[in-house]
Amino acid sequence: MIIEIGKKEIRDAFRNKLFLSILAMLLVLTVVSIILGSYQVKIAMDNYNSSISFLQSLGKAELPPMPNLNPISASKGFVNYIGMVGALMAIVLGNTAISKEHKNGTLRLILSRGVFRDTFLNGKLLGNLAILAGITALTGIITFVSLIAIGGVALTTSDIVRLLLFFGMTFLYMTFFTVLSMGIATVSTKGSRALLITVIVWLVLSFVFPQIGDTMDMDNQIPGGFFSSMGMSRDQEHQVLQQFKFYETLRDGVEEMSPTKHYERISYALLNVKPGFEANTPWEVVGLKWINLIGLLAPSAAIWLLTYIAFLRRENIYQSN
Amino acid sequence: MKSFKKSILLLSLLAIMLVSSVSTVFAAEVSAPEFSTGCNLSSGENKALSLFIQNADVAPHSYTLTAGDSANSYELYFSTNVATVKSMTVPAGTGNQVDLNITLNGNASVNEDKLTVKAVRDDGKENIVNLSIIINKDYALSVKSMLDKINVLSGKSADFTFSVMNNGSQDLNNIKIKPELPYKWFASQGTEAIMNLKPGETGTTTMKIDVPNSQIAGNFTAKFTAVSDEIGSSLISVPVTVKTSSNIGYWMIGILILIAGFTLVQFKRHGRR
Repeated sequence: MIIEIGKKEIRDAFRNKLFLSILAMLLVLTVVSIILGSYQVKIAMDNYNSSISFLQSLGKAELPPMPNLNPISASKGFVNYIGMVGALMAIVLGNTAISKEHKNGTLRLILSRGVFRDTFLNGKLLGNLAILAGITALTGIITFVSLIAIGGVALTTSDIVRLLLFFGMTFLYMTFFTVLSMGIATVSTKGSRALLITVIVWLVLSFVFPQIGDTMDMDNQIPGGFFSSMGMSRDQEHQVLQQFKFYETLRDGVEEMSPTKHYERISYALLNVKPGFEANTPWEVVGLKWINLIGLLAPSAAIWLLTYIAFLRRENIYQSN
Repeated sequence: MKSFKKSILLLSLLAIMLVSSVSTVFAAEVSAPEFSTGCNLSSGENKALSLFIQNADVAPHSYTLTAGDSANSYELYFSTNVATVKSMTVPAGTGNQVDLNITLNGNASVNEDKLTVKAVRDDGKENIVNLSIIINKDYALSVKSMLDKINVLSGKSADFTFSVMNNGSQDLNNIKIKPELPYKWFASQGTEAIMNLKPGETGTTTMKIDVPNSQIAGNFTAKFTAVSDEIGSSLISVPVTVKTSSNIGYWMIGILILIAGFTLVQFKRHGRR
């Protein structure tokens, strides 16, 4: 039964105009950003090759080594698009999954046919996760093809594993917002209200919390740094920070509550956008960034379990909206 | 007349002493022939030599400055009062001062070295100044970390142990370790530890570095230098890997297990519906 509900969910999603519009927007943005990134890699490669040819024509024997082009960083723009458009698409997908059944009155019909509530939710989730996995796989294929065909670079095994892990994180990030959206739609009696609440929660988690982390940092209060502007020594800086220990803990705690921040941190480390991870293997990066992986997985699991409870205990399902 | 001659001699000696004590190079006008001057440098020491670019032409000119062709490895850059420069414009009939900053990287392969400074005018005319550099081996200080790499949990402290050696031929006093750390990292112990070393002696010192709770996991570099009253060592970099404390993970997993348990209880109490 779960599989049947899941299949129906996939068919329905491709009839949802709002979802299709956002999906088209995401794919266009992805293609543009990946192609631009691949062209940058190609330009860097061409520059290096032409300088090598020039040096060889001069008869130079000592040639400079190839610079680290880091082709996988071509996906950097993709992280930002997924952070916004990908999350919105996941929210629409999750909300529609539940609210359409309320709106059409089919929820009562399905549940009266001996389908357990948890089976119904699991089927819905499975269908939506399959859609998200398909979208992630499609963007992944576009990335690999563009990098090889346009960028003209041969990806190393480490690059391939890093990219695959990055797309895995992208899937988990979108999953969180689908689960959140389904959870809120399950609790709320009105689909439009649930969508509005989910979008507000998304704005808080993706924009307000990370901003609190960045802008409320004491040293970010003045351009050029608060401590250096005040002419403070490291000891004085230490003393000031010791006085604001609770504030700092609170600020960091708020930032840690943002799945967008967790997604950004692990993605930038995997894509080598953030310096310092070049020498690590892909699995070492995941090992170092395990907290970000947990930060993407644990909230989804927790919200899903709470959704079970909310749906199980809900008594007004058979009432019309 | 005899006393006059003596005075002249004394004045000349004073003038020579005064000139040799100031390490400045008076670069002549661009078409002038090359000449040399000396500079004493110890390992890890940073020295700034003042150069004067004289433009005797009737039009202003831009001069591109380069330095190199030495046997030893030096960190070299030009600067004016405000910033690092690679070229400078000198108005007609005037002169501008520029500092050449020299630091010896690592150990010297030769004790008497030569450095060529070129000022190439925008019309192609160039002036070359050869500087002779004498490596001072009286004072030499080296520092190395006892560990190649350090692992630390965010919010915890790490002990960095250093071996400091007096490689020179003179005593070194009040040797301290000076850290250059990432933002919000602080040395909580060991900054006040002082040692005196005789030539050839080696000492060890430990510094405790606090890594803040807010430090996200990753690879960082902590830099250190040993400084005595007489000289400083070259900067060493120690790679530091910061890992996230497992406590946060346990808390998250604990909360998740709690919610899972609560869900199971609800299912048991109400059954599948």
